[in-house]
Amino acid sequence: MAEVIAALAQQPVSSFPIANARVDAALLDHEDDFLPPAVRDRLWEIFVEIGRAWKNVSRDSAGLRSTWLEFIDAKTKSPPSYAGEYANAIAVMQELEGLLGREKAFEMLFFNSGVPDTPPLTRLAHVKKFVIDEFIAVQVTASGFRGFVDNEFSPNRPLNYAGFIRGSRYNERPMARLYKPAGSVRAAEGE
Amino acid sequence: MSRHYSYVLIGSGVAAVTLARQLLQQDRSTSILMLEAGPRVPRGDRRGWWDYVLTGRKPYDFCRDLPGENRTEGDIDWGFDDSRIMAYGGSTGHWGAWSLRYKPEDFRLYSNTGEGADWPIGYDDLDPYYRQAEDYLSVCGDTGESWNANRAAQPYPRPPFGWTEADGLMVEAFRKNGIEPGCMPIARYRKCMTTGTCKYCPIGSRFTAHDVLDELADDPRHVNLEIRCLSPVTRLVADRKSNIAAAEFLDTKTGDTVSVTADVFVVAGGTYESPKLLMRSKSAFWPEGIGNDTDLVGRHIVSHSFLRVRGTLPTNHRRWLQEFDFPTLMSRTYDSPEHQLDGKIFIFKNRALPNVDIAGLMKKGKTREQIRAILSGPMTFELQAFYEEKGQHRNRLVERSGTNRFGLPLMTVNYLREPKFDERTKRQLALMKPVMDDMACENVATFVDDPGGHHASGTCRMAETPEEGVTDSNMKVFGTDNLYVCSNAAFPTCAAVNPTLTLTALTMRLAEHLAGAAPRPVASAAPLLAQEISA
Repeated sequence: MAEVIAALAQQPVSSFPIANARVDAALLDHEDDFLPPAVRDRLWEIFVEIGRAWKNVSRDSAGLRSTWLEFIDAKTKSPPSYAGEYANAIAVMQELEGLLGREKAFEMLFFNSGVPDTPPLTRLAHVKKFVIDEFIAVQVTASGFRGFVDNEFSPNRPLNYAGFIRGSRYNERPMARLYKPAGSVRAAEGE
Repeated sequence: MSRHYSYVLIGSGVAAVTLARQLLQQDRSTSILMLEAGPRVPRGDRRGWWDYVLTGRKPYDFCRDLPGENRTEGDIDWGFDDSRIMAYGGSTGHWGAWSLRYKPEDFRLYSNTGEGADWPIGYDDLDPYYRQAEDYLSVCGDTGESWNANRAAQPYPRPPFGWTEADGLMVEAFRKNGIEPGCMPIARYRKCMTTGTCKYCPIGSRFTAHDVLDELADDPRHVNLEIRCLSPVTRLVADRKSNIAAAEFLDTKTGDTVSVTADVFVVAGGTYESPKLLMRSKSAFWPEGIGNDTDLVGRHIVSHSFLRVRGTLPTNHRRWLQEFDFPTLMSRTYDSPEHQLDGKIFIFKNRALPNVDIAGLMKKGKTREQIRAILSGPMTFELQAFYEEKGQHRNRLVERSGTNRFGLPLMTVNYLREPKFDERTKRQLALMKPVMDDMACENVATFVDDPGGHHASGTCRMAETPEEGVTDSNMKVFGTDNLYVCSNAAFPTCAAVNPTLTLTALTMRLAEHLAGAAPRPVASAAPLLAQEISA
């Protein structure tokens, strides 16, 4: 599969005219904060694919949807609005899926995008930096970290991570994995 | 604009805001003008929080000193970057909220060591105010630790945050080395949900002066509280040697210089701005600046140098992470009278280690298996310490020409290490290194970092006489009747721990003093129509 992706990634620019086009400033100049439901639904599909690719969340990310929706709201209703970035992402994804197929398109985006770690200039680079990478960060802090950290020593145990809000503050479960010295009787915050 | 106030408070950080709160509790109609050079940055902004999670940038980052703006002369590079916030609420916008009391010996540094200075007050003078301050800041701590023996009758208002599993190895290594492990006292309200984004808490569970000031400003009883942002104070005006009659500030909306009068002026601009304002307030009465007849304003600047010991364990099969955005393990074993001459150290585990940037690895295209292998691979630990240096007369903060974008004068810090710094820190690092060795860490390395502005103090220090300091035991500037410096600037020593709890306690003590001093009643103030929050 890696060879296939690498070969596809090396196709000439003309093979991905949208993805490889340089970003026009006007394309992303969205004063309007309105995000059409169809665009939002397509974005959610991208978010769900992250969990499928890394297998770090359950139930196809359904439990993360409210957090993600709040994030999208914050990114489109406060300046600078990401509505343009999101519209760009949908257009680029349509092209990639059309040429590579859905599975390979996401595999390329997640694992072999070829986008350099420099200021993004192309439409594909914008998708990677401002949509894919940000969705990954949201997914991890919204509990996706657990799927990597959980192991035989901490199945379903309390676990914390930067950015993670663990739910109700009245929850009686501890906030983090706490060290308990033998014979300790001290009461601590978060226990 | 020509108004008279009972109090003009310069600055809006924890000192000014706490003082305003205390004064308003005594008399809700007290007239107070608070002047802040910086802007008001929204708190609890969801977009700002998400951008912080995604990029690490905080909404208030633009309120910091710019790289290269200020200078150092001497044998270190004084750390100005990231050390303060010039904005409504001051540096509590980003503080770590570590809230430790100074110890009795910290008030007797010169008597005990022949170096540095003594405070004109003792621990017992501050003890009742420490308790008030801990309640106010909602400090979570463990009263049972041995260094808290002198406060046994005063439990912390909240229980401590416990040690994480990732602390366990170091806890055990502490004990092997005769170091008593303790829990870091942290100012956190009960609603804390430990998101790890404490520097811009999304739910307001860490104390900030910003939140308190909002509450004060929103209270309809406080009809004579006025807050002006983007209003840098340029000068204090004396109408006779002992009396400050007015403060002049720049109204950045109009470009005009505005003069306001008051019964009492309190400079709460931190260790940098407080001395600069005194120095540039020259007049026939004070040719070298207010309180500077003995050339001590700006001198004795001191802060904590940072000692670190870092090492690596080859595996992390339990995939430990620090999990909280603050250290949960510390010790004051070497913050003791026996270590005072060599320089006390307050040690704590690095708040960010061990850790793995999972999202960062995903962004780089690492697979699930690769990430889990990295999480189970080598993990880095670091033991850190604040090292107490003693204030020296030759070390000094001075103004230089030009102002920053908030209208505050630029500065230079002249700083030379204390003569025995190298040998002393070497001995302190030798106390710390065995901890890492007993954890079986590999590649153990030691570091000494330069001091910086986070805990800077001493530039208007308290003393018994004007020959020894700038302010008296109530932080009143010597030679004046109505000018106070309420700031870390008034600290004669910086001890080995964070200063904010002590500053808060001193502020509460000052509020009582001012109530006893009984400034003229509010009737002397011209009527104000409403609270005003600028910018």
